Amino acid sequence: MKPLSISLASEMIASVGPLEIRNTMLMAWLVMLTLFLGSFALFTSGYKMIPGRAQAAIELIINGLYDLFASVVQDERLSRKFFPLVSTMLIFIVLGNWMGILPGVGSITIQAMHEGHMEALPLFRSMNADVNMTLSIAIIAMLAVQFYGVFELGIVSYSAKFIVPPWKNPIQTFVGFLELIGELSRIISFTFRLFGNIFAGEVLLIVISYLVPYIAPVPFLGMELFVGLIQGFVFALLTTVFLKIAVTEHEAHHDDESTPSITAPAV
Amino acid sequence: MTDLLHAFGIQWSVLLAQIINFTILIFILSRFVYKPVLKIIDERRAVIAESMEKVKEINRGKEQLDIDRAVILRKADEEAGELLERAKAEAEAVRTEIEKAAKLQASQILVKAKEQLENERATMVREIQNKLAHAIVLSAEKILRREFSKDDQENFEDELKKNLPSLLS
Repeated sequence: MKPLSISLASEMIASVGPLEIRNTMLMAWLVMLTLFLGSFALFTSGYKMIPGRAQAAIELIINGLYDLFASVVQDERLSRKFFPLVSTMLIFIVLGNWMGILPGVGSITIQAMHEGHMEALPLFRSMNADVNMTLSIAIIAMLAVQFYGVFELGIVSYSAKFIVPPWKNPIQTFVGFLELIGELSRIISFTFRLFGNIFAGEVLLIVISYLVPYIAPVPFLGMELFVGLIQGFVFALLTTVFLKIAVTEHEAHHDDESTPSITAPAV
Repeated sequence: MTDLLHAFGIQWSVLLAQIINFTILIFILSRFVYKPVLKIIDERRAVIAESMEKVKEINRGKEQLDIDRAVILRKADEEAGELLERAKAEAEAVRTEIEKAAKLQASQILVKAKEQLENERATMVREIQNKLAHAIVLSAEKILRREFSKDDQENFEDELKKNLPSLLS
């Protein structure tokens, strides 16, 4: 039996100058290409007042997502602003997860230099089973949260959430400091939640396929489809919630009951 | 820290590349999918709202039309009844007038006929008188020719002509 190799890090297949081409990056490009082609095909065929089947399906998805996010944001103007970001997150992550369990991903190998010697490396690897990918989306998400917070509330009002002078309210100073750490920790939780779920799924599929190659992996494939969808929703909805919190006025100096009741769910 | 980064294969260049990838994807999808799709949905919503409003307006118009129609019909009905009444009355008047005229004309004709008849009778009587006088004269002449002289005859004729009408009447 061939030895089972599971690598936590994605594998480099080639390099262009300083840029390493990882197998997850190839996968990400494949996902992007799929989305590009799909959107161009839709766009060139033109959006019509009386939609065709494809347009109706896309409208259903986009409108459904919009309503979902808008129900969280509770503000038409802000929803329109946040929508492209969170919706792209969801679509990209879900499609990446689903394409990651297509046959051929992981099984098509290429001979490449790895850790100093030539080795057969998988040409494609599930996009989100790479911390680089999940971390980059998490960074974008949290940068966007800060950006919209400052943009909507103004730098003074927004930073007042984190920096409270100790002579005014020492407890709030401490809470602000915790908030600041919380913002940073969100990047890490975003990153490793998605990475962990998808990587775990990959490992699970590899192990099951290794033990019982036929039939047995099927329910696990189904489960991975579900996990992939859920993780996409979790990522996008959490981002939406954080965005909503960021653009909501901080009212900690009032009574506790009057503070906005939006809190990030612990997922 | 570097060990951690190495274990997870985190590399700044790859990270940056993925960030750029994702940003490009946001712009592409935003430009070619989200904006046009949301726009067309908004437009359609507006069109539907407009159509609903129009339907409401049309219904309102139709109701008004129905009311108007009923009013007009009732009015027309009333007018028609009135007209009929008036026509009947007029016809009655015309009939009585014609009847009256006809009666008058008939009586006039009757009177004229009577007159004419009277005239004719008078004429006839006169003629008969004349003819009878003439015949009497002739027969008398024939009788007297033998006995009267010319002068006697003439005298007699004159006297006769003069007295005859009184004799006959």
